[in-house]
Amino acid sequence: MKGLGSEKMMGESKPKPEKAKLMIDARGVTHEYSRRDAEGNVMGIIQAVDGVDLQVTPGEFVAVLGANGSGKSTLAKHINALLVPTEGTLYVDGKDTGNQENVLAIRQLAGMVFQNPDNQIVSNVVEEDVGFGPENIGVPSEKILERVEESLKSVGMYEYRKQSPNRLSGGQKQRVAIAGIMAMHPRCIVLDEATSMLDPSGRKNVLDTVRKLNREEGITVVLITHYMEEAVEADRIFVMRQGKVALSGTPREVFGKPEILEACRVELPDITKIGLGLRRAGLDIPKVVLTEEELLSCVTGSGAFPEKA
Amino acid sequence: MSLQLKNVSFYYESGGERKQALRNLSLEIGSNELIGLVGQTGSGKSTLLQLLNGLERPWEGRVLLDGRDVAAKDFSRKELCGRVGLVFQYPEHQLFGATVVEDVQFGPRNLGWEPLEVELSAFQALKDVGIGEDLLDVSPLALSGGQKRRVALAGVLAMKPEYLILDEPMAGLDPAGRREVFQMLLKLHRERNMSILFVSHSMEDVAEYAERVIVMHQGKVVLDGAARQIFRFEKELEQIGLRVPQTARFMHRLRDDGFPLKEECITPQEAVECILRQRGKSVR
Repeated sequence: MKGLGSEKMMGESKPKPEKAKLMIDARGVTHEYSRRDAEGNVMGIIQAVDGVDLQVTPGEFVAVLGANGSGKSTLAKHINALLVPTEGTLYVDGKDTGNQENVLAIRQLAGMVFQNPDNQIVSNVVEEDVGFGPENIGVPSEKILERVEESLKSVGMYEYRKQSPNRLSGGQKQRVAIAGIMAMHPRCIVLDEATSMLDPSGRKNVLDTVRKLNREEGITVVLITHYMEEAVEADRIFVMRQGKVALSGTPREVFGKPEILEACRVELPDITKIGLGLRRAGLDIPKVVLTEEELLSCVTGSGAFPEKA
Repeated sequence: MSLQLKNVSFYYESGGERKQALRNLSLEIGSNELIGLVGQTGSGKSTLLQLLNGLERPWEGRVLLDGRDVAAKDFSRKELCGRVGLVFQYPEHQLFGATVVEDVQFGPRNLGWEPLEVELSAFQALKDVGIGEDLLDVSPLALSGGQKRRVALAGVLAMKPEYLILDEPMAGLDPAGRREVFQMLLKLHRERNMSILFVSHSMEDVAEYAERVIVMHQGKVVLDGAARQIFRFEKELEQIGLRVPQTARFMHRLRDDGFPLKEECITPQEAVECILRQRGKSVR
């Protein structure tokens, strides 16, 4: 399978863009780990990530799709230096994650939100939980209060600041986790299936919050998800398969390749499926329809409506 | 055959505070049903599941299996656990056997079955979930995430439950993996007449697979009916933190624009057929 996005082509020809202009710059990133049996003998080497080239500019909103085990999460953990490449290099804002001296700065620049909200809470009070991050990176205490307030407001959780996180819903906990990251003044947030345990309103609130941070504060967002409708609004999508980027491009480009997506165990958004079904039956509808509005105007214009009196 | 909750109330107590989780709730699950249970976090879904399988006892009201009160002295807990199988969220976190087959045999052995019966039922359960013989003696920890989930499910199936209750069986799986788990459940439902109730936060999955949908809010059942009927209530569902599948929402907007929507469409396939029919095209 061949990558199709121009970004991928750029990566292959290894250009030398000015590093600082890229938020994330992965060059041939490979991550191997050995699989062991019960006695600790090595059973085999697994390349979870295999020569990935991926560039994200500041302020971009990118989604990463792919089957379970395709390497999405392993790749994501490289972005805030939880893992370092076994081969290749990954730069965050020009800083090499492989250099131990950069780790603290990188963790501050790129925060990560994980799947299970309960595993990310460290304190009994919401505002203390949010203050944990900045305190850890040595922000002076009077500044911490300021940052906690501002970040809780930006995720819409300020009124819960004195509460115990245990009393919050999953979506609220995830927003507190995001506030904890925001309080470190990051430039990038990585969400690793952060909405997968949430109910519909929790999912919506978390996504609205992330979109707002992206649009209003220019935070770079890397969203790893199994929900296609979440990816539709991204600037670009990367689809991973067996540790490699199999496909990349705008949502319209990516969702226009249903055959490749199927091979990657990725589905089309439901709206796109409806559009494609109608097109295949001969209706005059573009190959890729992404939003309800688009599909609505396509169907309205396609003669499916009875003549209005 | 039925599994019933009659006027059940349940409370959680912590630090002197009492919180009501279920409010005078009544519900009947018949034989051979396929039910999707939806509701916001904290609406009481998990408490309900635990009552159905006897992990919790109601404060008020009764749980009846085939008309018999499960709290009665002559009703054994083991019988309830065996007949009403409960699969927790992320069940793969609870695998502990040294080998796959040992893990799956744990349930039926615990029910006091004869060794041969234990072996046969474990073997059948693993076959049902698509775990091949080559994996029987492997450590469950060496399996992939999807395989682990299947093994965990087999551990419950090995007890041959009449009712299978699953808390978000698809959580964290990719779309293809979700479909595989569902195909497996559908097969059990059809071929073994197993009654299945699953919790899901994905309305699309519920629309695609559930025949009946139960909607919970603040410890009560607020809607209960065929999926097609339930997803008519777009506004009402949104008010309680839920939503309708994307397809249903789109079709409602189309209808509001003047499209004569005669029947509720809840899956992309249905929507395509409905629009084509309206346009006078024959489907296929």
